This record gives sequence, C-alpha cells and structure tokens, in this order.
Amino acid sequence: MLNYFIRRLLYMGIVLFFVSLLSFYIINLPPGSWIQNYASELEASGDIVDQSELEFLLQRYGLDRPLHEQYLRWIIPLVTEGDFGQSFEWGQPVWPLIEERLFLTMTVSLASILFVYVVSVPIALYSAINQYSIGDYFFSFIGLIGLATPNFLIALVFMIIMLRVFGVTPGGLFSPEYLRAPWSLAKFWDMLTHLPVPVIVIGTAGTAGLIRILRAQLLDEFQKQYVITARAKGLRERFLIVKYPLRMAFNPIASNIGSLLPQIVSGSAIVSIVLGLPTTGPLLFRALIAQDTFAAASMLLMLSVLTVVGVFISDLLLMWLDPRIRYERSN
Amino acid sequence: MAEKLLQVENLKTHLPLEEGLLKAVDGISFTMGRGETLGLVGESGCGKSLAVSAIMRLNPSFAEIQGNVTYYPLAGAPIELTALDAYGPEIRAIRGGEIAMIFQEPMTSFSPLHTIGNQITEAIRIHRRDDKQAAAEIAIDLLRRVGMSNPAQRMNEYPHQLSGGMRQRAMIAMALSCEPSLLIADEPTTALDVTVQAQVLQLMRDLQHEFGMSILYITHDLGVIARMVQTVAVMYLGRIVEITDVDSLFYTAKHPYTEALIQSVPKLGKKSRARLESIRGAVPVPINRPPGCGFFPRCAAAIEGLCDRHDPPLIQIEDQHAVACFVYPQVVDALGDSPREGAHHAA
Repeated sequence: MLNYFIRRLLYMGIVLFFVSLLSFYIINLPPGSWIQNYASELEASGDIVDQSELEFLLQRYGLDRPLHEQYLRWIIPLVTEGDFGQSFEWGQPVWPLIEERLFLTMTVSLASILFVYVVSVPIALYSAINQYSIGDYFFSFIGLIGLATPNFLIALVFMIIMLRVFGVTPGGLFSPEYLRAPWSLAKFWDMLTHLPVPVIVIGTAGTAGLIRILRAQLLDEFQKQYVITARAKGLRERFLIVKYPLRMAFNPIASNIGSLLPQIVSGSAIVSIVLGLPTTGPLLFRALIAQDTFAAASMLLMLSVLTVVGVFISDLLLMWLDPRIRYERSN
Repeated sequence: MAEKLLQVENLKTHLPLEEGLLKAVDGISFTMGRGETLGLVGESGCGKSLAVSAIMRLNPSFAEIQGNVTYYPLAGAPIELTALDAYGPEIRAIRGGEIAMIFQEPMTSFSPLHTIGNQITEAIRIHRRDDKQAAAEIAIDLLRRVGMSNPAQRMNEYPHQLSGGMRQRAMIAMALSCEPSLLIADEPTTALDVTVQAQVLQLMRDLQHEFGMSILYITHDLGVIARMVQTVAVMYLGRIVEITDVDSLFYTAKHPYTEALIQSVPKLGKKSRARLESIRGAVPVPINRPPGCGFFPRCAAAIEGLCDRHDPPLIQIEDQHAVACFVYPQVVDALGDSPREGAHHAA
C-alpha cells in the first residue's frame, strides 16, 4: 500500500512537470510578446514609447532570452523557493495575485461538485426506481435542457431574473463593503450568501449529466443477480437498493470526481467572467490574452496541481469503496 | 403422502413483449410434501426458472402472473403467495425465512462490495436474531457445516477472494441460514466444474437430511435429477408434460419428449459405435403460440389433426405417473370432457 502511494506521488510529479513544460510552451506560441503588446498599446494611446524602458523591462523579465532559459528562470525559483515570479501585466509578484483567487476557485468548485451530487443522486434514484413514470420524464426533460444549454446563457438568464424579480444585481462573490475587507466571519458569511447563484449556474450541466449516468447505472444494477439474491433473502426494497445497487453505482461516480474537477474549473471561466466572480478564470483569461507568461503558466500549473490531487483523492475514494480495486492495487 | 408444503395450481407467467405475448409458463400445477424433493427438468428457455421465480414473487415486475401458489407453513393458515404484494412484509417474511433460494451463478449472486459474512448475517438478522454477535456465530457455524476451511476468516473475505465452488458453498450457507422449509435450487451446480459439482450435490443431500427441508430442484441435467430427487416434473415450452417418480422416469418414460431427452444422454457401457440420439429441431419461442402440443413439430409420434389442434391435458395414466400426450388414449378421452383439468399430480 505504501508502495502504491509513493508510486502515485512520483507519477504526479512527472505529470506536473510535463504540464508546466507544455503550458509554458503553448502560452509563448502566439507571435509577439507582452513587451510588444505593451509598446503597441502605448503607441495607440498616443504616449511616447521610451525605448530604454522597454529595454529595461525586456532585460528584467528575461524576455530576450531563448524560451528554455525563460522556462528555467520561472521553474527553478518556483520549485526551490516557491516563488512564482512576476506578473508583467500587474507589475507585482504572481502569488499574492492568485492566492485568494485560487482559494475562491476551489470554494466555488467544491460547492458546485457538492451541489451536483446532492441534487443528482436523489433525482437519479427516483428516476431509476420509477422508470418511465411522469416524474422520470419530467426530470429527463429538465436534465436534457440543462445539459444542452451553455452555462453562460444560464448565468445571463439568472442575472436577468435576479434583477427583474428581486431587484438585485447578482455579480461577484461579495457585497461591495466586503470586497476589500480582510477575511472575517462576516465576510465568509457574505460569501456563502453569494454562492448559490454561481454554484447553480456552474453545477447545472454537471447535475444533468450525472443524473443521466447514475440513472442508467442504477437501472443496469437493478437487473443484476446479486439484487435478486438480496431480495430473495427478504430484505426491504428501500434498504436493499441503497445497500447494493446504489453503492455499486457509486463506483464510476467516484472515479468521475477527478475528471469533474477540471471540467468545473475550466468550464467556470466563462461563467466567472459573465458573473464577475473573483476566481482564477477571468484572471487567467486576461493573462493569456496579454501573454503575461509567468502569471498564466503559474495559474495553469496550480490548477493542474489541484486536478492531479483531485484525481488522486478520487482514486483513494474508489479504493475505499471497492474491495476489488483495493486488492488489485495493494498487490 | 407427506404433509402438504406447497401447492402450485395452473400457474402462468406471461410476458407482454413488443413481438407479442410470450407465454413463458403456461399453466403448470404440482404439489410438494414436507421433506420431499421435486425436480423440475427441461431445456433452456422452457420456463422453469420463471416458474420458480413466480413462486418467490421475484419475477420481473412486467410479467403477468395467474394461478395459485399456496404455501402451508408449519403453524398457521395456508398462505396464498400470488395474492401477496411483491414488495410487502408478508412475502418478505417468507423469502429467506420459509423459502430460500440458491441461484445458478455463484460469481454474480453475491455483491462484490460486501463481505461474505455481511451478506450471510443480513438474512439471519432479518429472520432469526437481530443481534450482530449471535448472527455472526450462526453464520460461522454454517460456513463450517458447508465445508469451508477457516470459517471465521472467510466471514471477512470478499466474493472475489473465493473460488466458484466456495462461493456456491457460501450461497448454500446463506440459503440455509434461516432454516427454511423449502429450498429452491435453480441450477445450483451448472456453473461449476464436474468434481465441484459432485461435492456440492453431496453437500446438499447431507444438509437436506440434517435440516429436513424440501428441495425444489431446477435443472436441465438428468444426471443431477437421478442423484437428487424423488419426483420429476418434465417441462416443455412452459408446460409440464410428465410427472412421475424418478425411477419411472428413467425406465418407463411415457412422453415422447421425455423419451427423447433420455435417449440424448450418453451412457457408460453403451457401444461406442452407436450414434447418440438428439432431438430434431429446436425449442420454438412461445410467442403467440398456436394451439396444440408444443412438441408437435419435433415429435416422432405426432398424430396429425389431433396434436396440432388441441392442447393435451396432463392426465394420470398410471399410479403416480401423469403425462400430457395424445399417444395415450386416456389423454384423448380426457379431452372429450373439456374444459380440461389441470391439477393432476402423481405424488
């Protein structure tokens, strides 16, 4: 078992190394650089471009060096000192810039995943037990609409409803008075009250998808011999369904958490822009457009870390759930 | 005849499918006495499994069930099983407690995610003693009696850690855990290899003596029938075509189908040159079946104009020997005073 853990950690390191390499390379693929963008922006607004200042910036950020050297200048301090480098765009270190946003991204993502499970499991159970009932069709219909509608559109619809019906602008994660305030219980509570709208918007597609998967999975499991065996023992139907088929149906779902996480993180970027959420999504988007290499690469790397850890956790969960997998892995 | 335990009267299981009505079980009747062993034999698809799942009310919910299945408990009034709610408390008290079942596939009959012990004690705690410790002791004792080594350790093992034979032993232990009066064994040895098959059959015989229960044995294997049962009901296309004791079946089979079935079993000591007989044709699928004997298209003794027009009733033509075939004049006579009777039984 210990062997397995060590091996997994090693794999995670290798994966993250390649992710960092690849993302750094891809960010630098588009022609031009942040300096050139900066210069042309200054020109466009009629300012005088100071060549020596550009030179200075070029030197300072090492943008005149070859790509692999730039990569090393970013990755080495990151690994040795935890220094994420400077953001060109913001003129300040990357880490303080993304620290809170990463935390908020995780909060929104985990809340969304929780929402997905809490809503879809009971609905899927109902739909599977009452297959082809009116309720089943109703949920299928709603679910398919949820699956087919882009998230940002749902976000817009939500904003309109909130504005027209409740007279509030549902933007951001905080009320204005807490926006710059330090963390406190009151601020945390304020965040919780702002969470439902983004969570529902981000979670809808996942919920709809999971209902479909879980319903099909359950219907499949209901036919299995071990369910009939359990019934032949005289178990109550309700108890039996929860103990056997539902438990079995959770296997693919547990293994799905790992892939749900990156889906939600990357899928929420557009929603975050529309809803004005202070998550990494909008910042990453801007950093990519501005070719703010270190900021973008650092954020991508951190999101990859979260994803890799998420996959690892879902694997552990799977081992906990399924003795067969536990047996396989420990040998 | 022993005290009555189970009476099945004109039981029908019809499956409404898109292609038409599939009469999987089409009016079968038999009676079992306490402590008796009845074998239900027939080819795959003849409806034998669906017939017994209807007794336990474990049939698919879209199946239409008709007829009566009456269970006679040791104490109290007879219970009409077909009238019970398939998910209600009455049938649940009978399932596992009074009538237990062993299934064909030991590989899939257990949940792979729960320990053997968990799955066995579950039944004990419902029907006997809702006490974890006591239930575990009963289960360990049973695992020992079905011949499992290290029973206490097996309790904490998962099905994938056991071989097929061991799993089937665990299955038997689970079925016997609540000391049922009737054990329904649906092809319990079909999925096992021959040596393990013999061990499991021997085990079931021993346990039957020990527990004094009745066994309803479903199989397509005549060898198993010869070893295990007293009375045999031969099923073909959803109907019982012959009921008799096991000796008469093998020595004086009356129905052409039964004869053909016995002919098609290879025998030791028979001349090796002699061809093994097989029944021509295949079992038709009983969807929207026409009237007449189901075996008519494959039967060597078929009587045109009779067998393809009328359903032969199951008629007792000798002591303890009933057959549904127009080759026997008694059966033709019985047709005269229709509506035909169903419930004739030999035992």
